Amino acid sequence: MLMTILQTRQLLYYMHTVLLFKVFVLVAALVILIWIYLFVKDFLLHRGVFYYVVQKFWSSSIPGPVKYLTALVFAGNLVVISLAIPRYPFYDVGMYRHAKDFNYRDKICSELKYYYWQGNQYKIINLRKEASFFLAEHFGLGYTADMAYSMTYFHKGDKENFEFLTAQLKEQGIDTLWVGVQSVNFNTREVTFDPDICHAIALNQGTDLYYGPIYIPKYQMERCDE
Amino acid sequence: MSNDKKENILIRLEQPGSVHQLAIFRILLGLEIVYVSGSHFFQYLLLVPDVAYNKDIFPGFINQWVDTIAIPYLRPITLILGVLLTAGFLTRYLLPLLSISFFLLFSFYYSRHNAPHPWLYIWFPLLLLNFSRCSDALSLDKSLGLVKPLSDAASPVYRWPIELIAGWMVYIYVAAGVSKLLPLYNLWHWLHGGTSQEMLYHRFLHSNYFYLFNRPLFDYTHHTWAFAVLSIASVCIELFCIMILFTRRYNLIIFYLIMGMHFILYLTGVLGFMQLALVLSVSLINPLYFERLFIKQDPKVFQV
Repeated sequence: MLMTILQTRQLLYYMHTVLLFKVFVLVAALVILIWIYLFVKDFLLHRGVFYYVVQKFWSSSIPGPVKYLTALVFAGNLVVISLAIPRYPFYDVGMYRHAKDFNYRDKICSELKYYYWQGNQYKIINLRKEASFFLAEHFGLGYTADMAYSMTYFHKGDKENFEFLTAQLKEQGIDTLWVGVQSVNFNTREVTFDPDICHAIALNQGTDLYYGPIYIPKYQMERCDE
Repeated sequence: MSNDKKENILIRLEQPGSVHQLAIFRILLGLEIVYVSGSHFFQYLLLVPDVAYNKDIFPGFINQWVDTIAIPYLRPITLILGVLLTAGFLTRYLLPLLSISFFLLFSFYYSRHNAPHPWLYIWFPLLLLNFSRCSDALSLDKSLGLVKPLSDAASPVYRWPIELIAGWMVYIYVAAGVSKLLPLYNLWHWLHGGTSQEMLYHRFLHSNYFYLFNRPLFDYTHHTWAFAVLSIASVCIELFCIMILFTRRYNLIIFYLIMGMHFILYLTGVLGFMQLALVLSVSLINPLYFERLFIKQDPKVFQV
């Protein structure tokens, strides 16, 4: 209850506009006050779970600095978890905190991906595959999962991301990357890849792209215009 | 044995430990630090625009200073110290340095990277090692006679760091579970499975499942119940980890559940957390097994 109140941004706004929420906050405040009273009373009377934990931990044989360090880390993490506001190094482990409804019912889901030509065959760069030691085709151990995640999603629209990628691939003799369209049809469970560079440019201008548009190099734009 | 399993973490802090268990944790943590500080990601972060806007507890001038020294100095220093920690060489002296360099390097990392951060969960175990006798076994320190291990390889001195790491593991998973349920009015959204469904739908073409099998398991636009089950199961598994505090009875079950959860995440493309879970899970193992593994001795001596 306390965490719900603490984590509600614009608390006063919701209290004024949603009656049920107002009732919840008032009941929660009462329950929290009673709980605090009982909690403090139990602790002062040397009983209850909290007293047991504090007494047992403080009387343990672990080094004094570790006791203080653990207490500090516990308190710091409790604050950021309660407020849902991380402050490094304290963290609320809230990576999937923002739950959402699933609104996409389109049977075909498309992704724009970089590829290159190897003879007459196109070769797709699957950035996240490269972070898997057993599956990687282009990159080595220094290409970690967080990096793959950033390159695939957060920075896919940045020119710098594309330049970094091409610089890495140039070392392997791959000098020209294109953007194509990979699609999965969830109805037939089939996956296809369309290397048509103009199709990719057209799709990249849509508004419903997951994590926004990808960076398409100028030479692809020019080739498409020809 | 059965009594030991029922005892809570505060009692377990005082129980016999294993010098080898602590040493193995040190080695795995060192390897993890080497792996992550060896990543090209740090150079990459310097190139791309800073869109994370994450905050830390350090004042601005320290952050500016860290931004300047992170890549040219902190990264190689952390990497080298990580190698030395793995080897267990001059451990007592390098651990404070490694803790500082790791803290500062990952302050830079965190401030620039807005995504799941498996490496953020290493710092507390690393700090704990500063106060422990983690190089009393399987280390160059021991081989070269730089440390004098305790005569009792099952001393409680080797147990409390492991139990605090188990407590840290509880924090990670329980906090992850709590964050999905709070504020309470978000509870329904999560349990309905929309987040899981959206993630699997949109990330399918970037998932290991696709790389391995080339086609979706089923139609991800339907079967909402399957995603609701996944979401509810993930929260239940994460919250169930709190049992580690009260008893060791369910440690094996918890380990399998966590690994199963991370394996599903691995297939959906969320890497990194599995190896963190594996490293931290060393703390879930009964110290007795390590002593059986390394010392051919009557196991009864390790019982309370």
